[in-house]
Amino acid sequence: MGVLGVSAHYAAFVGRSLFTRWDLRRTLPRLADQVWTHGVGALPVVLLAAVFVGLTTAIQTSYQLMGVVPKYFVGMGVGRLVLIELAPVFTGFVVAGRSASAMAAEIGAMRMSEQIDALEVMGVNPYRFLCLPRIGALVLSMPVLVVVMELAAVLVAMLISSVALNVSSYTFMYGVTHFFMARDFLGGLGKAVLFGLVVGVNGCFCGYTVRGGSRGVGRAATSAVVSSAAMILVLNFLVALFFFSR
Amino acid sequence: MKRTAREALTVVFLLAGVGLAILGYFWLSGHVEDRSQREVEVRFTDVTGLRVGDPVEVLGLPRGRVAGLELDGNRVLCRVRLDRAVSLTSESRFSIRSVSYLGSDRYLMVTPGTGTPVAEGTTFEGFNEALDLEETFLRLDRIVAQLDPEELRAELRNTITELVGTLDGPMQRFEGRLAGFDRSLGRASDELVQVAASLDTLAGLLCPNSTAGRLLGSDELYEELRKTNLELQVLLADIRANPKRYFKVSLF
Repeated sequence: MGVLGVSAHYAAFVGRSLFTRWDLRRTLPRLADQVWTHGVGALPVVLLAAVFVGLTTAIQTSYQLMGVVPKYFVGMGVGRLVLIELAPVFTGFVVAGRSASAMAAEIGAMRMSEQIDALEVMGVNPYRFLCLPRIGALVLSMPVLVVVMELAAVLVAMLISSVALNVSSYTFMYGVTHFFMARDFLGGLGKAVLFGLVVGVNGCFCGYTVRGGSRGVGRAATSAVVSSAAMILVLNFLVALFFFSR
Repeated sequence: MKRTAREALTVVFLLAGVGLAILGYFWLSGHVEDRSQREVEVRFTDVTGLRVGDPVEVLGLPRGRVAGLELDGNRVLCRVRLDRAVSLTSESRFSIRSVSYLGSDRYLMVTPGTGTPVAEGTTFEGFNEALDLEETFLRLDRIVAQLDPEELRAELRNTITELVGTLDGPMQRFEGRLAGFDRSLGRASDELVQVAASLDTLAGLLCPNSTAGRLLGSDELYEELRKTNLELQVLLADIRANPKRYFKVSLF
């Protein structure tokens, strides 16, 4: 199948998964289950990533700017960098590594054991039953995880700045708040929704279209992560180009 | 974990996310009420360039921000969030300044002063001391446009003539003093020539071949003079000890 064929297949898959009758009474419990697995379950690793993003960003910004511009620019640099770029992209990578592979493996195994065919035989829409809750869960969870990472990273950066970098928390927060733009914050959340959608769709698509037995399941898990990471980077660039360039 | 408990926790997770997003927005945008700050009102006649959120610096340190600007009759009422630690006095001064000479960014500079402390709620008078480069150039342009080149030339010529006339008397006096100084300098120069000639003569006398030069430069003569001196001292001591040996006085 060529690039065009795969694209058409991908678009059809997205259409079947999202533009179906949602049947919320049956879908909501499965959605909650997936939010628990892929949202709440990702909190520890997201918090861990946030701590190191905050530490590294504060130290690097201080290294680049100290002595050149006033100290509160450290807060400005960390704040804007985390809100616009680091928090959405890092969270996207973390969730892609954790959830896209899990989804691909789970749905791929069901495809291999013909459980999906059984669902179809029973008259259950497999897209609504398997894909919609997973994609929906990531679309809902990603903004929450991004907000958690943003706040944790800024908090950690503020602490390390006041403890080790000779930038008081007041001066740091002055830089963060003075240069804060609602567009940055909302743009980060918009990216989170987009990345959640991409990771969910890729995970489900790679699992749903798996071929070649258990090796195929492994390949599907890998390609789900790789394609999600690649699409996150491409989408991040496109968002920067169309929404953040002057 | 029971399914219902998980579902409840999931709902809590999502609601907490929404709450965090709202709280984070207000925290990061600086809209969360800071109890370490208080609000101060300052009246200005003009706040050109000042915006809500601009920094407030106390003696050069960032200690607050402009919280609001609103018209109050023919003046502007500026609300300032300022650290409680900053003690304002009756001599406190609020002035709008430019961040740079070329930029249009402004900040509010606060000089606390040393007067008596004021009660909370006092409204201060502010001053716009920002350098507006565009306005300065416009004013300069208007002034230049009002000038008549011919009139300016005539004015300049008159000024130069007056300046030359004014300087004429002092210049003559200065020249007279300069001539007197020149004469004194000539006399001093002649005297110096004479002194130099005398020194030259003296140096001639002291040359190694002259008598004085030999006397001054001979080690042998020095040694002999020293010995003679020592012998004279011995002779004088002997004369003092035995005067009769050398002086014999008899009447008959």
